[in-house]
Amino acid sequence: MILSVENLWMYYGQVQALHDVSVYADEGEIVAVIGLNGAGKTTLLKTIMGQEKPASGKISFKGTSILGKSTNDIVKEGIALVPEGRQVFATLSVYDNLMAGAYIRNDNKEIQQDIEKYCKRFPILGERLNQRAGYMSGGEQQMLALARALMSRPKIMLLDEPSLGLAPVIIKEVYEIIEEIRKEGTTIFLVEQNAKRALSVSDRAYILVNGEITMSEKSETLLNNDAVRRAYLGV
Amino acid sequence: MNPDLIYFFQTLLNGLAVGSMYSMIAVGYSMVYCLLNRVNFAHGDLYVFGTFISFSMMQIFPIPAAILFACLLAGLIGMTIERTVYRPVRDAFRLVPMISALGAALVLRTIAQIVWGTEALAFPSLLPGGYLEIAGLKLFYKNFVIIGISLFIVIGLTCFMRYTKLGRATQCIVESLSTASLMGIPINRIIPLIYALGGFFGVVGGVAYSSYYGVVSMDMGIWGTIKAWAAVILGGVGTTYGAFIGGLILGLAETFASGYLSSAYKEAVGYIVIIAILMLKPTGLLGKKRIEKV
Ligand SMILES: Nc1ncnc2c1ncn2[C@@H]1O[C@H](COP(=O)(O)OP(=O)(O)OP(=O)(O)O)[C@@H](O)[C@H]1O
Ligand SMILES: [Mg+2]
Repeated sequence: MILSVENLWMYYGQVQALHDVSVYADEGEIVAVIGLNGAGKTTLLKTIMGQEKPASGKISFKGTSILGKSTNDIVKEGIALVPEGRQVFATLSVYDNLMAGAYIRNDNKEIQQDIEKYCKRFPILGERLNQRAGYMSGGEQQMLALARALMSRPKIMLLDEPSLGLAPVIIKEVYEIIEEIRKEGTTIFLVEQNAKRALSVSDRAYILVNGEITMSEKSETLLNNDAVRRAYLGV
Repeated sequence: MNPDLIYFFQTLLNGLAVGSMYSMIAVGYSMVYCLLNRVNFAHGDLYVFGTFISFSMMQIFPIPAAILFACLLAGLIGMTIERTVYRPVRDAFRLVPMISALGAALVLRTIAQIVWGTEALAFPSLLPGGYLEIAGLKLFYKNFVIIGISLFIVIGLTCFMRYTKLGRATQCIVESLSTASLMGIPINRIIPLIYALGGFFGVVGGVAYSSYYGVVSMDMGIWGTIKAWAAVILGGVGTTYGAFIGGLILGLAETFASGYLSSAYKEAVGYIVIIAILMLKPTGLLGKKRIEKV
């Protein structure tokens, strides 16, 4: 178990955002959390990253607790988050964004090799290397956000709605990349509203409703579950 | 040379020197402004406080040591202000940090008034006197020294921001605190440094200004806050050279206004230029980031 979250409770003031949430990811897995708007998906990821403080619960990475650590220390441990809405550094160049992703590393030569590697893998980044990231389209920014997170060479990548606001072709591409990333050995933990995509790519999935996990199954099983199909797949 | 032309060049040179001083005070201010996204009311009083410190230290120590000490101390105070005045209210409603910064400014001002009194003091002229005369044009050495120092600072800071790891991290922080921390950037260790730089270079500008005009007074504080803010808005928030260019334009506009119209128009012209530029380009001349309403 590379990441484990146990009995997490989290409030925004009086508003309860997470209600006794327990989830985990094994090494090499793709795990999805499916939930509608306001279900608490972003809150869950932010809490794992130390950006929000839970009221109670346990969060551990490779068996040791990361609860209470600062976000930058959690990143150093080997967890990277691709945040909701991508959040590329709009005024910085694509190159500087990638360099920012490599902040925790000091192996300069290999950093440059990684940048070359991702420029090949995402040709658009190579073409736009010296342009401002803010000028790129949503899909291009998503590629940059993925590459930027990979630059830290994470053991596990958390993805917050990677398909948000993207055209179907681009979504397909994004999910192909997610599968590739897993093949190269990085565990994936993603949250999505786009249940169809997320369930087809993931091994296991959770259903999050109003801050509570209501189902935890193999993704295949959920894809064929009637209640899930009605609520999340619109069939 | 034609006397009108001589007068023009003379005004130009003075304007560039005045603008360079604004720039020096503005470059440090610019970074803090980006970070806060609002006016830093403590900046003005901090840089004057530092200038007063250098004034007192000069009575005892060699001048370069006195200035360096004052700059470092202002950097330290800048860090302290961040820690005590800004950090605890980082996520509060936007007026709250402004008010707590006003509190810090008041503390600095009160201490300064107790130690140095309320009157303006004569500041030693540290700049070379004299001038070189070419075709009737008086090229004052002090103008060139001022322009040189500010160029050195802005080029140095720009290189620092672009080519060092710390500089790059600073740019990320200035753009988004939360995303910067997701890169593994230790924001709480770097933010104090940004405040320190603001204080440090503010004092360099303050010392330059005080030796140029031969005076140091607490009134320079509010004046400095306004000029620095104007320079940053004018040049565009988010870049070091933006603050530099903004300071130059402001200094030129003011100097030409008082040279050709009347010194009564000096301040007003500065603001007319700002309004005109913001109407044409809301992000400032070289701005990266949109200016938020204060
Ligand atoms: N900063 C905040 N302050 C107060 N309440 C918040 C805050 N952020 C989120 N919430 C509330 O917490 C709940 C969960 O929000 P969250 O953003 O985690 O949902 P989500 O599943 O990511 O939704 P979406 O699909 O819209 O991104 C919502 O009811 C939301 O209104
Ligand atoms: Mg969300």
